[in-house]
Amino acid sequence: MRAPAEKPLPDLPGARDLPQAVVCKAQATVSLTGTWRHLRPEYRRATAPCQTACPLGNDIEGFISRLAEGSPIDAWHLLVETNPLPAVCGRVCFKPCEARCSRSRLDQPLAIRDLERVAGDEAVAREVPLPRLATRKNRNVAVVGGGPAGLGFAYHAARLGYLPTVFEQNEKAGGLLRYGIPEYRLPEKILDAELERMSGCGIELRTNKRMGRDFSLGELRGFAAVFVATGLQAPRPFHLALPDSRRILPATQFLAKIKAKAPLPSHGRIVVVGGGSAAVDAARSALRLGARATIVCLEERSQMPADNDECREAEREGVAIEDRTSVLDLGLDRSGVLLVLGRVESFSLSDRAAAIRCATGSERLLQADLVVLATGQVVDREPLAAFDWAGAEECEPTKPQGEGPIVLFGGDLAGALGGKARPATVAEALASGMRAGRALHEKLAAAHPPSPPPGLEAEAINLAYFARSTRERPLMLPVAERVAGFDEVCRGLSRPAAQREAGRCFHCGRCTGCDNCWLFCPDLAVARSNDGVGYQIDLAYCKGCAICAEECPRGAISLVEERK
Amino acid sequence: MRKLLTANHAVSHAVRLARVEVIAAYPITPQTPIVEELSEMCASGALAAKFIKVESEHSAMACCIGAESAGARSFTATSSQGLALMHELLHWAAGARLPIVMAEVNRALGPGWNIWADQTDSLAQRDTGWLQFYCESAQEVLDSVLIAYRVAEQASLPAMVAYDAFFLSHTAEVVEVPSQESVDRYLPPYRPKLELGVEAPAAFGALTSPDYFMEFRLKAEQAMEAAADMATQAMEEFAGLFGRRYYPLEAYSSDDAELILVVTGSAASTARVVIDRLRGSGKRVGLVKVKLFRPSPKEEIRRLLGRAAKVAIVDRNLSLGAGGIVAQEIAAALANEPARPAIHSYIAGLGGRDITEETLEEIVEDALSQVRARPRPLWVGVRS
Repeated sequence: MRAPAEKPLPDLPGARDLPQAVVCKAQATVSLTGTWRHLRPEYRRATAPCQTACPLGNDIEGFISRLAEGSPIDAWHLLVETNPLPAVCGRVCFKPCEARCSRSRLDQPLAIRDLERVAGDEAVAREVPLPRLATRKNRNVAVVGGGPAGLGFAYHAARLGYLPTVFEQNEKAGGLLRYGIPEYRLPEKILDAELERMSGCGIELRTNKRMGRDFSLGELRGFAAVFVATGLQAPRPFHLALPDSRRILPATQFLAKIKAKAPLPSHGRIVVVGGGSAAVDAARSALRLGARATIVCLEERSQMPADNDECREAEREGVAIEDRTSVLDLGLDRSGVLLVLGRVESFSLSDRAAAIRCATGSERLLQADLVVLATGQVVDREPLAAFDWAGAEECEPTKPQGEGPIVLFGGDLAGALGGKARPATVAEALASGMRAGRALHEKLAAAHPPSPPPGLEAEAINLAYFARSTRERPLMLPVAERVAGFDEVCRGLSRPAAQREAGRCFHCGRCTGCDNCWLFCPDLAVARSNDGVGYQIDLAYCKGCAICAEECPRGAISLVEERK
Repeated sequence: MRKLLTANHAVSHAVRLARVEVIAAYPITPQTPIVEELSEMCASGALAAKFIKVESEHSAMACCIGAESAGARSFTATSSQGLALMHELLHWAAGARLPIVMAEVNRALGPGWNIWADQTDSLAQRDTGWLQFYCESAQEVLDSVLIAYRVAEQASLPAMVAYDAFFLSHTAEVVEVPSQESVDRYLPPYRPKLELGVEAPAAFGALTSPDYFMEFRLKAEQAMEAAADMATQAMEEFAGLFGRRYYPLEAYSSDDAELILVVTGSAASTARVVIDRLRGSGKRVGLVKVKLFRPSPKEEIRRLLGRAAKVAIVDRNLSLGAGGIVAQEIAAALANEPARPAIHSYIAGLGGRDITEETLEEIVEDALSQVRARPRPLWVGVRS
């Protein structure tokens, strides 16, 4: 049986000294049962893409889970950890979350905004108070401007234990929410309910207090900090010289007058100039005043900055949109305003100048009783003269006057002050206030809030495990009934529809205990935890095949490289 | 206790008596009644085994490998295509030195789709490192399962007990079912030489470099060779306890025979009748039944067949292009004998065609009449 070897064999144990079969006992450096694992699976919590996209960082997956469980108030409690106004944002948010929803890779994104509204409305209906969390610190902070940014700051400062006082120039707080967004999109009673609830959590509101008119910066010396969020109060200068006339007015005034039921000049034909959200709000409001409404905007219809759903509803209601159109001239005649319009070939807009090129010979006339200019807002610097904001950054605590309080800027104002310009949206404004509140707390209390878990990679979702489903649509007021008044157009999701919609959530980045990892592990290395929540991996048996991570539908398992 | 049993149910009782701890099997005709009966025994509590339902024969063998590695006596049963599907893991079970026992009901491999007796399926697995026992009656099947466990566990090698479809698997005979006490005396609990344990994790069957591979093969080959004597001894002890005597190679009326007929499986019973009749008519013919095919009982082949003038081998199997497998093995075992018999090779009974007394008589008469053996096997009972 033994043939003579041609060259001597290496000096190794012979057959007699070997075990009967190949076996390696507990010598491996990585796993007791083998050396080949180079990736180690780890259960993790990753932040869902919707939450990453939300300016406020709302725990969207969390609140939707609670809605799916049939607990809207629990869902609301999770939302108000970041957002004090879920019923408001559930109506008017520009929903960047939905644009990032993982389900849009399979069918349609979840109706996250509609779901937020369900939770928000339930809490309003049941008059649930906001929770008071931190113990009082007896440190007063001032907020200049009672819009969403100021309110966001006040809310988060109060949650962190400070005593905020909000100085608001108008009769009521809310800013743009109250005076800019029409009733048919955001009923005042909803706004009132959510703001009233905020005053119940320790926020003092002083209305009819305009800085520079009713008080000065010096009078705020007693406060530990001042958050300035006065927004954009002045209309952006129009690119043409405007005749002085009651028949030409900025959108903010137009919308505020409607809210205040103030008289307007005769308005059979209203032309709104601009392509943003305010322009669409103005035009749809005009319809509700019985006017014929036309929007004139530079952009192509599909490129308008306003929310596409809003534009579509405006058209269904009867608003005419003259896109790629510029106002070349504008003058008064006996019956109203005469506009000369031109076909836009190209344009570029900046804060200071507008460069618009129109096709020669494309001029035409448009007659209007009233022209509403929705071409943007800029900072009104007059009440802010006392501040030195050279180098001021959004939400960065600064102490410009040595002795005085810490000053922070936020909201639309901060964006316009040369800080990083952000989309001027309600969620952004609230988020700006939240960031400022947390930054202040970090400075005063040296408290560092935990950062959220890392964002989920899109490819971590295994679409094979999800069935297609149809997005639920909210109930809408019939078009014929809408223009008769300012009744709310969108009536939200019905209870059963909301439950179904919540059930469509993938729960990106969170283990739901689906058992896939446990079922698929070829080495039986995955075990259910003794407490019944989640799983454990026995690394003595795991070979690092990564099947568990691949088969996890929602990216709740990550792979970590082994370092030997 | 005497019972009327098919060979399939005789296996079920043998498995029960062997106190098998893990059974993993996938149904296939003609094997299925074995594991049906076993599942009922497990359900009724007559057998305290874990019955694992699997999705394929490959998985069944994988389960047995896992169970046996963890130190559990395990069992599976299959036939034909099912055995072919296990092929990869048959090598693994042997290389890992796991004494799994399997009942293998010999059935033809398709196509043509055929569920009847043919030994090509198990003989085609002759190089996988499994002991192979062939049987001629339901009683022998029951006894061979017990013997197989005994030898397999002693040699640390897997074993299959093979028998013909329907002629044995579905035909009831009176079978003496031994008592549990006597079987317990014959077959002690399984004590693995290498045990996989949760407390002492280890990698079994890991990468083995050229520095060691040959040494492990050599050890397995030495174990296989030693198993031939172990089988002889296990059969002797079995006879002592139970009174039924088996041999790796059984000689019948062959001492002075000029021509020895060689058969395996159920045809052996038919052959005994034929040999008796031919003896009665004055012909010096005998019979050798091959029971142990792996390890090849080469010494016994030389001892029992070496002195005859002619050997006529009936193969109920076919290695395409090479003829009957048993004939090849016997010819190889006799190759270096100075005075060796002429090897007459016959192919018969493929795919369940009956091997009758007439078939065997025809073979004997043919072999006796041939001056010199043919270069190729003769196909008996085929329509030309």
